[in-house]
Amino acid sequence: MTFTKKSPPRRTADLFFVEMIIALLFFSLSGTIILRVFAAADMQAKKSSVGESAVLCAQSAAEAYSVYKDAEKAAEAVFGRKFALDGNGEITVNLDASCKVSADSDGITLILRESSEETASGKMSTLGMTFVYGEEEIYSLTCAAYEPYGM
Amino acid sequence: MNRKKVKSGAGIGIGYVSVMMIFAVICLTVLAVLSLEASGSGQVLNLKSAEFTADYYAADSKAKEMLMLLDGAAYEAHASGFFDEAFAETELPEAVVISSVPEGFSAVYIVPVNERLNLNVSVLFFSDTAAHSGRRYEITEWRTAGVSDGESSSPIHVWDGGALP
Repeated sequence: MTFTKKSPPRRTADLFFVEMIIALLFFSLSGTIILRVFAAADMQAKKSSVGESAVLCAQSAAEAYSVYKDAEKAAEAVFGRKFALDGNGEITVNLDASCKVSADSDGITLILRESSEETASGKMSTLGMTFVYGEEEIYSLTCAAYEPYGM
Repeated sequence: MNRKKVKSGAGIGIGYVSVMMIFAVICLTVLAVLSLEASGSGQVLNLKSAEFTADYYAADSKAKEMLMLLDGAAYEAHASGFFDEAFAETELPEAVVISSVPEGFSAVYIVPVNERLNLNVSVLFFSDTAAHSGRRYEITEWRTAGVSDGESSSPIHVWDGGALP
């Protein structure tokens, strides 16, 4: 009769638990890093989506401005609501992340500034658009419209 | 001899937990890197789109400024009473090519949008505004085109069935 030398069950269980603890520690550490990467990717995707909406909104406003040649009318055409120039000659529009008019001011803030130059033959108007999201300027665009007189 | 089979832990041998954990971490890392890569490439695309839009509207504004200059010249030429002579003698930017047409003058100019695209503009200025409902000009072309468009390229020689050299 032969006897094989075996580690006692108690020692094997201890080793298993030590491995388990080390594995959990490593998993929690790497999990923290991986979660941070996921969060960064999500943040980047959201920022990209907001930026894309701002570019599309700016394009719509620029096209509306070249048709109406007036900032208030262009804003009404794009956002479906009437807006008036404030004391600084600006129109401020609060938008949500998909660039729709919102009552909250924690989304995108669009500032429209209009300037014009008149000559004998016509009026050249310029509209500057600035999109601000969380204290940061995410996009700005300047477009122009020419309105000839007597035509 | 009655020998019992000894099992380690909760039925899993030593090392399996580490292997499974390493596999899970590798999978999660790959997924995280891929999602970061996807959002990064989306942002790059968005930046390029934003840049192109800004470039296009900058060129559009410049083209409208040139139109304003040309219309001002046409307005003054009409006011002088001798449109053809006055408009032909007006000093215009070098980029504008003026040619005489039966209705008046045709002005053609190109505004670069970026390295690959141009904004081609062609405007017809009428010598007789009364015949065109009081309009001084008509925009006949306002389009973006590739930089190579309109340039003379080498023709493709096709065999016409004649004797070969």
